[in-house]
Amino acid sequence: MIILKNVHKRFGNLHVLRGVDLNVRAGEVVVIIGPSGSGKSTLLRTVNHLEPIEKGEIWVDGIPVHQQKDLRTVRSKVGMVFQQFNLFPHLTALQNVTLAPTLVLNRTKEEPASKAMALLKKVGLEQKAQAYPPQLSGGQQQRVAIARALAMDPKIMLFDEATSALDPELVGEVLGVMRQLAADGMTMMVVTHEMGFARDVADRVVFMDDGVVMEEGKPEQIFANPQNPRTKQFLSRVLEK
Amino acid sequence: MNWHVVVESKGVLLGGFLVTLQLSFWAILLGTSLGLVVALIRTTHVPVLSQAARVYIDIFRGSPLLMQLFFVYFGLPYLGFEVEKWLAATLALTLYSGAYIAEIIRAGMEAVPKGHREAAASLGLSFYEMMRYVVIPQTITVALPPLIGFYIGLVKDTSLATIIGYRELIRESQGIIDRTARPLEVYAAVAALYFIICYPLSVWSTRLERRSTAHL
Amino acid sequence: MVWQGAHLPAAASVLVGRAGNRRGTGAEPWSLSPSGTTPPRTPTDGGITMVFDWGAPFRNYDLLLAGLGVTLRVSAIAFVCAFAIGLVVALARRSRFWWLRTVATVYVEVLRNTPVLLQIFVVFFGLPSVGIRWDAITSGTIALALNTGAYLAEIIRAGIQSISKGQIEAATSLGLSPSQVFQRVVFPQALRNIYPPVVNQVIMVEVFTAVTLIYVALTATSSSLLHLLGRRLFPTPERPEVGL
Repeated sequence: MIILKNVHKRFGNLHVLRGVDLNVRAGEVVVIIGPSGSGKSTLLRTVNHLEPIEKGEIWVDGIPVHQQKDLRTVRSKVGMVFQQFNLFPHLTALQNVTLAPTLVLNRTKEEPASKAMALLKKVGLEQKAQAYPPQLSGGQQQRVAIARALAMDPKIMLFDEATSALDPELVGEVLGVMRQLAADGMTMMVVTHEMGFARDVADRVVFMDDGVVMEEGKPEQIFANPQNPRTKQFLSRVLEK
Repeated sequence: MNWHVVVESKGVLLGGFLVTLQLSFWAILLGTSLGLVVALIRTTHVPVLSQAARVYIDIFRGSPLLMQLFFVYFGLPYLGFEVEKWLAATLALTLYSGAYIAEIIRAGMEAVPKGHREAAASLGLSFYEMMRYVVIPQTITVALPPLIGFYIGLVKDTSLATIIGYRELIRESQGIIDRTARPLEVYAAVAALYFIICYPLSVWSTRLERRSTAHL
Repeated sequence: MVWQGAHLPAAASVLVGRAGNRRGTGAEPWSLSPSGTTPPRTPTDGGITMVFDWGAPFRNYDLLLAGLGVTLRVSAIAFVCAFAIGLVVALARRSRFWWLRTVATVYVEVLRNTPVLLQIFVVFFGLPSVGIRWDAITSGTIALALNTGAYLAEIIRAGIQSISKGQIEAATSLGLSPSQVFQRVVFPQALRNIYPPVVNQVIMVEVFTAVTLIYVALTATSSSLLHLLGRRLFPTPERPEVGL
């Protein structure tokens, strides 16, 4: 479904991605972990071309993203959820969810609206449909953001540290939605610090450091028996709690 | 386009320019001093003084500069004072800018979080030391860009003194135009003169603003 | 010179109350009057004595209201035009064509760093020399619109720029085209954000309209109106040249 081949990216003098190779199969949940500055978020953002790349190839469902053609199609197949939610504050929750289907997929008004309500229901927020983002808690906003991304019927969902900006007690409700999505068979690429989630939900865990993939494997493998010394170091720091 | 006339009249133009600069300088100097004083009065907790300052500020910020100019130039003689044009212009501009500057400074002072004063107090700093090392530096950082922006406006506002006949740049240029009948060239020169004063200031102000919010 | 200076407040107060209407029926807010108190003459002013007739404004409230009407009309038209200009210029400053950006930037910087009065003069006194001759009120409106437009352009541009990148990324990742992102996400929020400074500009336009109308109307009708006033105030055959 997603093929990343020798992806390189620089920010000025900073060589953030130094030749990343990664494949994600349909229905797979890949969780990417690693220290800050390792390039994990940047990698995620290259998949839907929020960040262009200098070298390498990116294929999403057969479309060559790196050639920068047909990006609208790519983006309608790939949904993204951000750390800062980025809900549109001047629109209600419902309007946030219906905006893109109406504009991009050119659907008429009723279909997106009823679909949006169904999605809001799925994330447990149908009662807040008419609320504006500032009136919602962080966890509620993030769930609306997930619904918004799902409204485009994506084949792939990207989660960029979706729970990092949330108060601890709100993290659970968002992870719950993500788990449900995974169980329903969505192809997901998740960048996160939530190791519990990685252990329970991931089909594969990828450890990144210094702009490359250091190690990858099944969660049991990585967490119980990391091969790479850097992986060991990172995990020992993070799992100290 | 006949630029000759500009070159020929450059003496008159520069004379007017000098007058404009002079007026601006005094208005800025006196207005800032006045504004500082009024800002301090405004922030004391003495009701009468603070109210009086408030009234002054509201009056001079709430009415057009032109009207203030007229009141000073035409009103004072009625009260028995002889008022020459330069004095009327300077006085009106000073009173006008004093009010605005007082507000800018007050906003700057209030932008310093209360917590800083408390921290200073708990560290044992005296009132004077707190003001000098904690409050005033931060006030200046916050207030400087809008202050400079206001000064730029002041330089341009000196042009209103034309209306009472004060011989600043615009009035002198009108004289040249009457003589030479080449308004566009003369106006271009006048605009250029204002521009070379105001534009660098506005660039500076923008840069200051960027720097002061960058570290937030 | 002195003569002009002395009569400006008269003209001003007359004109603010009577934009365009040149009746001089002695209902001015001040008048020369041998009756009542006579304040001392002021030598520097060339001798105009004034007795304030405070009732005058109230007797002539209809004229003052008419004057207010003109002021409001001019400032409203000027502001609407200014906003349109400001929007266009703000977008031009963000365009990918360098020449468009340059033109817009020059426009904004020149109009913001030169006095409004000068700009009004250029429109009213300068343009006739290239054949464009508008009347006083139109000139004032146009100059005001151009000037305020420059300020509004900056305000609008800052408002657009202040919308966080995250909003743009979210909209882009949903597949919205750049123009859709701008129209549906960035611009509505920008408009809401700039409301306070825009209101401030409305006030500024009001104020400047008053200034404009006083001065331009004054000079527009200079020969006739000032001579009219002069004749009433100084009924002597001698008259110095009017050279505003």
